[in-house]
Amino acid sequence: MSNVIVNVNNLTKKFGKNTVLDDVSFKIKEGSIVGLIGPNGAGKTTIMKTLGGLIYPTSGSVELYGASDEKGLNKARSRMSFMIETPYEKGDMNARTNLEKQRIQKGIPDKKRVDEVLEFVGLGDVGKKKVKNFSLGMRQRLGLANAILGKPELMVLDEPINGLDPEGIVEIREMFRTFNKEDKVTLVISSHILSELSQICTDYIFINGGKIRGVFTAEELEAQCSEYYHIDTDDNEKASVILGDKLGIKKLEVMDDGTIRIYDGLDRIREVSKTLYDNGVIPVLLAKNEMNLEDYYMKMVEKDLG
Amino acid sequence: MIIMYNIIKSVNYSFTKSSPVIIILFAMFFGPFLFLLEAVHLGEFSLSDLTGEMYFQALPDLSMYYILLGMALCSLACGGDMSDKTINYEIMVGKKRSIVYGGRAVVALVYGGLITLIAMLLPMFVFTLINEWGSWIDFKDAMIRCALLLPIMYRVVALFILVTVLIGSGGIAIIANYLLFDVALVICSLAHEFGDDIDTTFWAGVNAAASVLSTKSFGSITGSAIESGVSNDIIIKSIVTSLVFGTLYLIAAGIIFKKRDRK
Repeated sequence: MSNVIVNVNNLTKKFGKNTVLDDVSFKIKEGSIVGLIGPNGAGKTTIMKTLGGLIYPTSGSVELYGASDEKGLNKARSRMSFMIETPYEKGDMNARTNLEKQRIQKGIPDKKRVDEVLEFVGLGDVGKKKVKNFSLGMRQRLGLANAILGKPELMVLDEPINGLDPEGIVEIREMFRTFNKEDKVTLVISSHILSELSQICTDYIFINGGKIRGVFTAEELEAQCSEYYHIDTDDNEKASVILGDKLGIKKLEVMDDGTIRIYDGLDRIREVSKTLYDNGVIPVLLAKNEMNLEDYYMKMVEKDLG
Repeated sequence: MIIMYNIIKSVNYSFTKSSPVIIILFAMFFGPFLFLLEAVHLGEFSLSDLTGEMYFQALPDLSMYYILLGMALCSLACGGDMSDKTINYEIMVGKKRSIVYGGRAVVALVYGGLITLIAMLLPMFVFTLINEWGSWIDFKDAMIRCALLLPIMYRVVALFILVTVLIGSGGIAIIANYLLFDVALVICSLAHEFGDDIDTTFWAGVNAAASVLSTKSFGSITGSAIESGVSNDIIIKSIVTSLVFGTLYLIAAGIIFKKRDRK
């Protein structure tokens, strides 16, 4: 059974009158890859900054590797690395001198580590090019290089694949898999590219409006992301009444565009089609779909906005 | 201590690779020499006129040049790593905030205080070696006055550090510190409008520096020499006010740095 290495309890953060995090609680187990998902302004970065010690909670607590006092938290953070918002960089220095500064600051004795890490992230041949002349993707790679420099046990990464080309995204995704499987590194990743997260994450935390909306393992989320039939007719309003009254279909949802999704009665689709037709409603579309991570995310956001 | 030493080393590492820092250091160590050589070239005085004592008498005016450059170094040492998130990344890997701040304060005090002072006084010793000291001002008295600059610079730099921590950015802190510097001098000179007996010597560190160096604080002239000794009262007040205010500023800056949420 994996240890819990991050334990957030009733965390609230207010900036003036603005509540950015509202009674947030979750746990992260050692060895997992956790996707932290939410729209802009949901509170993802604030959670990460609180874990990193940049922000003090208004109330609630954070435990890292079992420690919640200041000394223990600092000791725990020495086993972690972060990449939050802008990756670390000094624009007037090149990639090597940037990492060398970090190596000195972290007290890493092995001078070869800098070159190892640069090769690993694909920046081995950038030479003396100053970081201010790097592309966004190169800056992201440098940020990742800084994050892995000290061989952390837990990495907290905010949009790590931002700005990368498709090839780079695949590379980084495989890198994360390697860290997790071979080096047993726990990862917490926030990203808007949900299709990428769904390929590697073992757990998901959904957050919106500063509140946790759901915490699932990958298996639990798969069960939530159920199959449905997407229906369109010449009179959707009448159709939704017929589906409920005459067919007893309870789990149905009318979308913004007026079309209908039904989540039960999936084995009675012929009956659905015939009943609609017999009651003067002509089905135009009857398509079977499966809700994926993006659909689930959009459903969560729309529900909160509604 | 090792952790703070690593932070000091890493700040120094990037500092010595920074173009603005190198330009400021060049201006500090070579600027006055170039300026004086230009004056010699223009015939304002000859090279053999440049005694140590002559340079010492020019210090009240020259010191402002050095203090402003030192202020820029201090703001960059403390604030340069704030705006590019370097400090955030140090905190996030478990470095105590007091150590992250302390390391930078040490570098700021060394570059903005000690190195600035060395640059300020070095030409005086060079000219003394070349053309001797002179006969107007007692050498020992001049050295005591120069030594008093050390605690005074500590106070001045500590205030610059506090302003930089409050502002959170090296570049903007340079402007803020420059404005503060001007405001302090204006307040001290305006105070005399309310009475000639108001002693503003220790109201501001920069004022104290100008006062201990200025020939206005010298005594009477006897023959071809001037009474250049500094009273014990001035020595004690210089040291005590500098250490007290300097330490208070550094503690205040440390508290602000520790308590504030980082962006």
